[in-house]
Amino acid sequence: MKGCKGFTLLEVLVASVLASGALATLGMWCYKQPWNQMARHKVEAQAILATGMEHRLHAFPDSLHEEIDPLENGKLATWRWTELPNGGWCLKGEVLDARGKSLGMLVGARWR
Amino acid sequence: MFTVIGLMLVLGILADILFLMALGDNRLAVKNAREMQERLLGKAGLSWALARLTNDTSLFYGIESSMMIDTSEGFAVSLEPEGILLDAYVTPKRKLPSSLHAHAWIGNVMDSLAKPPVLSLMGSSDLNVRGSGIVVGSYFALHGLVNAGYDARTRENSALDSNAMPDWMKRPWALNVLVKWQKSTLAALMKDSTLDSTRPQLRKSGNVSVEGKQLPERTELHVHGLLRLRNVSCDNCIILADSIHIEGKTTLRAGMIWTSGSLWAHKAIFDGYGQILANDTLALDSCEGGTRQLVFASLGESTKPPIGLDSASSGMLRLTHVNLEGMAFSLGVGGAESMRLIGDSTSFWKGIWGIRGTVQYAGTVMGQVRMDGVRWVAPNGVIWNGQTDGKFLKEQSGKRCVLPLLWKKYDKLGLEWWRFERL
Repeated sequence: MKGCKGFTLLEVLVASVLASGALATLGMWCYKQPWNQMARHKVEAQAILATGMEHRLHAFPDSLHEEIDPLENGKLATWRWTELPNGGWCLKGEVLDARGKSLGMLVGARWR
Repeated sequence: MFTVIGLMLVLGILADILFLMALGDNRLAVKNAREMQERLLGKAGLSWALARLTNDTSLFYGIESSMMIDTSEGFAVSLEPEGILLDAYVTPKRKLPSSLHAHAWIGNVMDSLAKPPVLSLMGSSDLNVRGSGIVVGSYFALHGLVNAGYDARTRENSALDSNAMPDWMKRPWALNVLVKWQKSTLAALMKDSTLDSTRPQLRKSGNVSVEGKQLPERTELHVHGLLRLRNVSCDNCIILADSIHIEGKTTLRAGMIWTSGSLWAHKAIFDGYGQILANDTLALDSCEGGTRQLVFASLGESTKPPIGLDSASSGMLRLTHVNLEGMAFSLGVGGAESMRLIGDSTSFWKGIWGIRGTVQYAGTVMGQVRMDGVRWVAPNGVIWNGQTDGKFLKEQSGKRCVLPLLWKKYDKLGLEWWRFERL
């Protein structure tokens, strides 16, 4: 079976697979570089949000009126309590990036 | 042509890899966020269940309800009696495949009641007491081995591999409540318990006889004196009396019977979840039980000869030809002869016996028998995973112990053994 310019089809396929592997490795290397922060940025923001939520929900009801520092680990986190029926309180938290884009939102609740 | 195909193949694979990488990031972030949200919903649901139960004790016998805390997020809670505690399941309203649900047992909390020093419940955990190591108190391993070479007298009982336990045994039993056997504590609980004001109340003094009646559901019957029940039936009742004598075709479904003295029952039927506790003697003869869990306990505080029994039977738990379809936890913690189980070769018993006394039993036991009330079986919270080496394990005071829901003297509800599980 002939491929092109003297290469067989098998040779072309093997070369393609090897090239793909090399490119994938390169892509993965790039992905792991510090300058590619996108994914980790989001996961980190979620972790900050979850920790903040846990902390505030755990301290309920004392945390209802606690002073909130909106800046956590360089990210802007916002928290808001709203009252629910039957003595419950809902805590809604959101983390924003430097451009104000939402990186995640979580909702929790506690009852007295 | 082949060059074009080859190039397209390479580019296609490259694009696919990059696409999967980008999608993978996104998937990871979405999955993380959802899992965090489900954990928050689980805890919110348990908080809601505790708040509802604190305000409305009539819910103790099971509810299923749901609640939205936001426009898109909410949870569903189901509460089911599990022995003497309450089983709470919280599932997110927005269920996805493999969503997390929270699971906990709810009971009353009494911080001061110590748990036994060595308990191994979660996962497989072995305890090896070596060298000069000493364990003071009880020990139990649900999964794994307890190897305690500290006392030759107890060595034969020291290794307990309970991996072969049937599933229903791996449940919270009343044992945790009664651990350590502070009899005075328990007796005080029985005397001073304040019960549920939402129930129909019936209070009498002196000797009271109730015959051929269907008592209203959830009746709470207090008798200062001897209570005789004959051909009576009641669902979810609470019966407290100085002494109780049950005979005829009396059927008690679920609920609780406590006596500060003795209880004697002949041909009674105990159906549904329930606790039958006696401060002095608990004697059941030819009684039947349903398929639910039952707890029989005698504290062996001998007060006076029980009605219908000779004085030699005082202060003991005596179960004679009691036929139970469900599992039962029975314990006698009085003196050296505080418990007697009598059964013939056709008898069958599922459950746990905690005994300080004599067993005369020829039937089949599916469960566990622990003798001498010191080395107790207590499927409950303190987790000890590891080994002691020349160390001295003491009772862990300050650890929380959960009491049955009906013991309302300690009406602060709490969660125990809570965890998240995948649906």
